[in-house]
Amino acid sequence: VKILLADDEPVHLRLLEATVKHWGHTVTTATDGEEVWEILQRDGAPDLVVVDWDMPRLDGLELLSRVRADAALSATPVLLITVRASTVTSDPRYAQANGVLVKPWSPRELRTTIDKLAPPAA
Amino acid sequence: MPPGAGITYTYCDDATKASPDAIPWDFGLMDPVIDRERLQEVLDEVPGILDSLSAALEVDAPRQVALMRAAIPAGDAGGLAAAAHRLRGSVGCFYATACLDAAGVLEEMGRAGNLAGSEEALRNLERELERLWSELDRIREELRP
Repeated sequence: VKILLADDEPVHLRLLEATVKHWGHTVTTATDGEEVWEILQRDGAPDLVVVDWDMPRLDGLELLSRVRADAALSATPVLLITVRASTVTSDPRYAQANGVLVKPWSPRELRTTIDKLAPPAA
Repeated sequence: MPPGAGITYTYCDDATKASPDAIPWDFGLMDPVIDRERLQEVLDEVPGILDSLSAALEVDAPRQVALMRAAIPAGDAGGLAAAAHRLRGSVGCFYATACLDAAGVLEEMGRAGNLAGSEEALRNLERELERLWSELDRIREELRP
């Protein structure tokens, strides 16, 4: 499964990348929403995009709105990660995400969510 | 009822403070440095990740603390909130409960635009980071083959 991961926090991005690679997925990383958008425009849709809500330049929710408005990308599964569980749900745009994971997540939660949103090809 | 009565204690690293009777009214109960059970789930899933994560935190945490230290006298509430938020995300990778809480206090102060007490809150965060470094060293030593 091809997964695009994005977070501006290096520690969290390193944890995400190591964990997801360990499970055998193909990973691309980015450190802000604009970089994710550039990768999506250049490489097309991966099987799953995992983005942090709070990122510089273009945050996860703004990125999500762009993805949903783009004909070629609108069906891409997007998993939003946040440390602010109580406030993210107050923004109606969060409902456009296919899933929301709250930091600190457990490997089991992450794995279950990834398998659900981007099931490996049979 | 004595101060602290009725509180469920899960961890305290100072035996003199482990009794509810010994806790003064204004003493903040110490959270566990790390939720070891949850960290262990990560270590079981991705063996060897701790050294790599610790190295990343050793670079990023001082940077965020320096940003907070500069933001407070400048009255930069947004800068304080942003740096504290970022540090929360980083220490959360270790399930570093006490650091998460200490950084959360600073983030809330920044978001509220009220920096009163933020210098003391930052000192508390720095103390919790010291405890975190010690605990990480201890765990890494314990895991060494």
